[in-house]
Amino acid sequence: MARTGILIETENNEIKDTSLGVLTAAAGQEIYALVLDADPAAVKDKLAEYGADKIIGLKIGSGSPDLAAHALSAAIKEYDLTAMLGTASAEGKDLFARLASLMDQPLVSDCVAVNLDDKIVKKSHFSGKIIANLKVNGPLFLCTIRPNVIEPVAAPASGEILEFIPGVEDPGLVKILEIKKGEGGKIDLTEAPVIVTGGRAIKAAENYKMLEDCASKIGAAVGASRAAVDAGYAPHTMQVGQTGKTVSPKLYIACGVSGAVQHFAGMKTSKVIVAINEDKDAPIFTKCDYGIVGDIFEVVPALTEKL
Amino acid sequence: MKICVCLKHVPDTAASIKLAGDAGFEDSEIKFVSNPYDEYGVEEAVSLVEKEGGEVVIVTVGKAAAVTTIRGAMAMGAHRAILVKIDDQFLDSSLTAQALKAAMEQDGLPDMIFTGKGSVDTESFQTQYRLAQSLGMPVVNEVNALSLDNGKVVVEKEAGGGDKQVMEMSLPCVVGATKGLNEPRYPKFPDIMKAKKKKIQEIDLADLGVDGAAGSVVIEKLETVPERSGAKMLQGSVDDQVTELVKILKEDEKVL
Amino acid sequence: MKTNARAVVIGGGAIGVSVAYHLAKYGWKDDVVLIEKHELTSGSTWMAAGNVSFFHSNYYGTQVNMKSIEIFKELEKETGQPSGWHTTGSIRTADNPGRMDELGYAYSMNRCLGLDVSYVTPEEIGKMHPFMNTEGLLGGLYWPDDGDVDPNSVTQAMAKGARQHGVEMNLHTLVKSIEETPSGEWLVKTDKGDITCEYVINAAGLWAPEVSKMVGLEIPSIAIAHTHILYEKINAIADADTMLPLVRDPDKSIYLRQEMDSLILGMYEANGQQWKKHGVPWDYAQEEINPDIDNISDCIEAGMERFPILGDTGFKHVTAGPITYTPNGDPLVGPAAPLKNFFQACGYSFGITQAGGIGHFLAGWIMNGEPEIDLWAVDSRRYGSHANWAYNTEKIADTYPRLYSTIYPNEFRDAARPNRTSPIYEYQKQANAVFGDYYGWECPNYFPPKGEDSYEEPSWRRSNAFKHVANECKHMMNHVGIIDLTRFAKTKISGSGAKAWLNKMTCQKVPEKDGRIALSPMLDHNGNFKSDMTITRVNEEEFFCVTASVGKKHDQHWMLENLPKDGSVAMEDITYQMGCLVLAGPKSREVLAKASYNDVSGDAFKFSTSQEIYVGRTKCRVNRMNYVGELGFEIFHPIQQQTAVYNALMEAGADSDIRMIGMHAMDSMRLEKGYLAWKSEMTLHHTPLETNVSWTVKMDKEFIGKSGIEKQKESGIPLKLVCLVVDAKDSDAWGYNPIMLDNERIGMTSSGGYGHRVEKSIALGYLKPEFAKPGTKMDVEILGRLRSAEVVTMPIYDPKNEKMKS
Repeated sequence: MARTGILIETENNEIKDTSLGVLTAAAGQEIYALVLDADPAAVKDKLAEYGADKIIGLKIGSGSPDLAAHALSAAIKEYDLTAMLGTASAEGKDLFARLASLMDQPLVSDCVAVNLDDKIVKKSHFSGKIIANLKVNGPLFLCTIRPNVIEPVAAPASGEILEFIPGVEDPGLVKILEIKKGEGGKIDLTEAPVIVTGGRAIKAAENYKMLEDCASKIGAAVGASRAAVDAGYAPHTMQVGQTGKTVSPKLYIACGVSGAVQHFAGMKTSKVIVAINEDKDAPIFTKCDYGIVGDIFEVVPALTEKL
Repeated sequence: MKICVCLKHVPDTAASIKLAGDAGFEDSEIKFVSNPYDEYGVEEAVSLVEKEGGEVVIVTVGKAAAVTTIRGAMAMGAHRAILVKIDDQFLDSSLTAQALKAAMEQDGLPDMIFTGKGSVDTESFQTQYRLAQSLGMPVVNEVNALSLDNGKVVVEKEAGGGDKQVMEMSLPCVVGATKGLNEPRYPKFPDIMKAKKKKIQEIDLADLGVDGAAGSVVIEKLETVPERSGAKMLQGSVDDQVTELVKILKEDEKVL
Repeated sequence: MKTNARAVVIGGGAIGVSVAYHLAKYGWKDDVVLIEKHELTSGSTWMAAGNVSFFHSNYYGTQVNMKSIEIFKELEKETGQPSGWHTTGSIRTADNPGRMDELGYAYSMNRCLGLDVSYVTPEEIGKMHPFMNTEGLLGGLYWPDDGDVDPNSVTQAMAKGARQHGVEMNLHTLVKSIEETPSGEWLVKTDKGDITCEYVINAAGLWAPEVSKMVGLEIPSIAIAHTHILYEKINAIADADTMLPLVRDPDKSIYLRQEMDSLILGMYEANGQQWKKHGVPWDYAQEEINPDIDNISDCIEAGMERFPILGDTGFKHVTAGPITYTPNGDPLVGPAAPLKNFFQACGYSFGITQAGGIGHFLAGWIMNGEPEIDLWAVDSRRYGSHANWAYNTEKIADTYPRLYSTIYPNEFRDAARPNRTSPIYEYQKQANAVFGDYYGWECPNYFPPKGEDSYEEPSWRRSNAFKHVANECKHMMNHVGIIDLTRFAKTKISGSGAKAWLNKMTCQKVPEKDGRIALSPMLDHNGNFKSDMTITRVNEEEFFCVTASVGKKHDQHWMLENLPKDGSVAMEDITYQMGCLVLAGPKSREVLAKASYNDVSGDAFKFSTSQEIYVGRTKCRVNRMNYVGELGFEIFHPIQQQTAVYNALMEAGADSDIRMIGMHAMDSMRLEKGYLAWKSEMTLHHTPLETNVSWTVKMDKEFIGKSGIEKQKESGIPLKLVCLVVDAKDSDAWGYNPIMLDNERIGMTSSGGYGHRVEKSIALGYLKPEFAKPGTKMDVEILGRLRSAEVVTMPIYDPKNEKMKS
């Protein structure tokens, strides 16, 4: 049983669901939950429910990302942690990379499965085409886990709050000048977690509005197939596929896209692919996860309503 | 100013990867390209030098075949390059950082270092941090906007929830570039021809004092992820189908 | 997956999908199954540039392209799925006189087909394509109806049409083997189950050689990495309202077309790279190959010279992918010899251009037994066994970079030669022969004096060989010469049923007496020419059949397909056992008499008879008949004794000034005699009734094609073969020249050339009968120019055959 630290991400004093999954990933270990920028008391019950033996609050505030890394490093040393897990969110990946560099210890980022006993992890290589099984050697085992891959399972533990003052200073290499609040504008295609794409069946440029309505409800970006771009329904910047953009969202909803090989080349690493097409023989149905045979002008509005 | 850009030679994301042995893949036939995120770094470095003067040096740790990728960056405007030669596509991130550091030190440390936000082959997302740490430089990754003024580098990156963080660093520093930073230029043929004459210095990894076998993350086995073989077709009325779909996406797949 | 089907199409590229679509559409409906090992388009369709134009070097090939364009334009209407067709027009440029001649040939040939094509000047080209530097151009041809298509969309549209008509599409299904069942059907075994079917169509593209191997065939098709470059956005193109025409600058070996808001430059580089020398692995699918920029840099530079904007425009994407090539760049289509009901539809390097058309024509071919148009130019049987994998590898290294080289009718490229040679090859070389390559055989075209014109300049005009050919013709007319026709296809037909069966195969009456010879055309089911055959009766149960050398596989396949299964007729290919030397000219009899132990006098050896006699010490089968219209003998002999026969004749002829004569002279002389040539006059579009061999049609017996002949007898012949004397200056007709009267096209030439014995430029051609009367004046269009011509009585040389019968 390894003494394992879990970096808990919070938002407005609430634990993110993704962090609970990371706790579950360490089930069976002696778990130290390190809570960033939240009141440990406010999250104690939940952490205890999901298996945290010890809870440590780390106050970073507006300090630089390096400060957080130093603080984590201090906690690891203080409590002799031999493993430290976190979420492969934008912040988590950044923080763990800084931590690993600082401590000069191996790190595996964005794992989809973790075996803490054998120090073996699985992670994607080559945009999801290959899964690599990696063995991590070294006194400290650091890894971040892809959000949502591990289902949180309750495993009640004591959840004792430990007082800890890191006693570290911000090295001052990077200064945060400003946080610009997002305007919630259009989401970039290649980075979007969800993409709704319209193919030739969209029939007219103005019909993309229907897809945008759907997309805006779930924080998705809107894409287009080559045929739709060729027909002048969408600009080339929206094109997904061999001669357009390569995307890898969690969810890809293809509306009226026939599913040419060229299109797949641009989106096949999506986690879940849903296709809506009138033609039951459309090639897209052979390579997606869920299919609906139907007119996109009926199905998409109905879907938008349900989302 | 002197800017180094770390460039990785990787299989095209559209290439199908055929495994060879437990921990390798067949790389003789597939198309290799420059790591797409690194291209933002090349573009940024080249435009900075076009404005400020100086030189852009590509530093690559890769197989001998990486020369083609380096030439591509040179066609975009990089001036010269250092190729640290290794025998395998995969090298532990710490060792890669050590090799990059040693090569840069040997060449004379730059004022600025660009990398991509990560590589599309191993997706490790850490080499730039290790390089910065070892050189005592500040690092910001996933930078999508950058300005340079009086030795201060102001960068912007996406934070969660659509927010943007604006950060400041002093030179020398390491910047991990990502989409949005610029539109990498497409190489023109005359530039491709000129690039052929530019200098690429080749060094063996061992000559930099780095032991390629000393990595602490070891690939035990690579496995191919099977392609999808057919959809679950939803049935019933449009309303039924849509309701079921939303339920599946939320509860089973957890992608909503 | 079905277990039984009428037809199984292997391969889901543009070609296979089109064949399946058309088979289903024309009536086989759900009795058609398509098998694709991966996804549709994933072999080489995905990387096609999508250019679709009328231009093809061959008259019938052009018609396939025409049909494609027609189909592509209609597809969306029929299937509801767009094909991505854009009409952009296309320009083919010329920067040298030879190329202008080629364009002239294309122009005239296209006009025979009623195509909209026009000459354009460099200035006009510049206006049509503002990015083009027209410096150095002499002109071009412009086809306003050409365009491009999205290869994927068009394949998907045909696939949709195929499904609508009932085709079962099995993707991710790999063919493991193909076996012939005892009942004569095919059993196609796949990893998802087995299908028994009547017809198999091999449209497996990159893997067509592998599929062919499953049925014991070796086909000449290999993969080459073809590259095209997509440039970044060009604002002037993005802002324009009209699309730029496709430009082919064949002299620079490049093509350029608009793609979205930019341009695609494609090329046939000097050093084409063969991909996967030993066969394309089964698991390859839609994978880009590392482009080799160094290898194509000359072409890119040529592109920049012609389109300077390319020098200031970045490469957005360089696509290199494998495409199949055959020894001459044309595909392999049609029945695969010697198999039954196994069709090829592969070897395509311009598969998108022909996908629509060839699907239509091949479906018709399979369903009706004959193609709607004569597709010999793309027939897989045009390659003999010499065209194996190694040959192909060597040949294509030469063909690929020259895909855009000027097409010349008299050009025989050197690569991958020699293959088949006559035993007297060394003597021919010593006599300074300039060789041509016919079905793999080295055959002298002409014999110039030592040190002169040992290379024939490729040209559409009279070449440097002209005067040497003239000498040979006159020599044969006045003295005696030897022509080597060892390459003739020779088939021995024997058995108790041989005569009856041959009588069914040919419209001619099979000779009733031993030693008699008969010109015996074989016809197709419609009564059109299938094969040019001469039958010699050896005895009651043995016949010696000679057919055209290049048609060997085709003709023997036709015979084999029709051979009775009861063993009453035996067929033996003796092509490679027997040589043939033709001894002809007024002094031929006296030479033969000297060389032979036998009596060969006019009384003892009559015209149109055959005897076994000794030539020197060799027993030969000698036919008193020939293709040049002089007194002469075709001397067939055991091939291993050819040198002995040759030496006996040369010794005997020493005093008569005997010399060797080449193919060019023979062709000139056969034109003068109005002798038909296979696939020139004798095509699937003409019956013997339209020609001067109508006398070979014997209606008092049954034969294949009789009903077609009867029909034509009733309706009257639509066309009549004539001989024209043309007022040509330095370029003669070659075939596919429009024959014009008062600006109206009244016919087309089938072949042409210069008749050295009569010293006139001659063309053979088919005319509407009302214009066929000798003395009628008209024009023949040669290389885009009208030349006056007159119908003359055929044959123009020795009309009463006195020389031959002397």
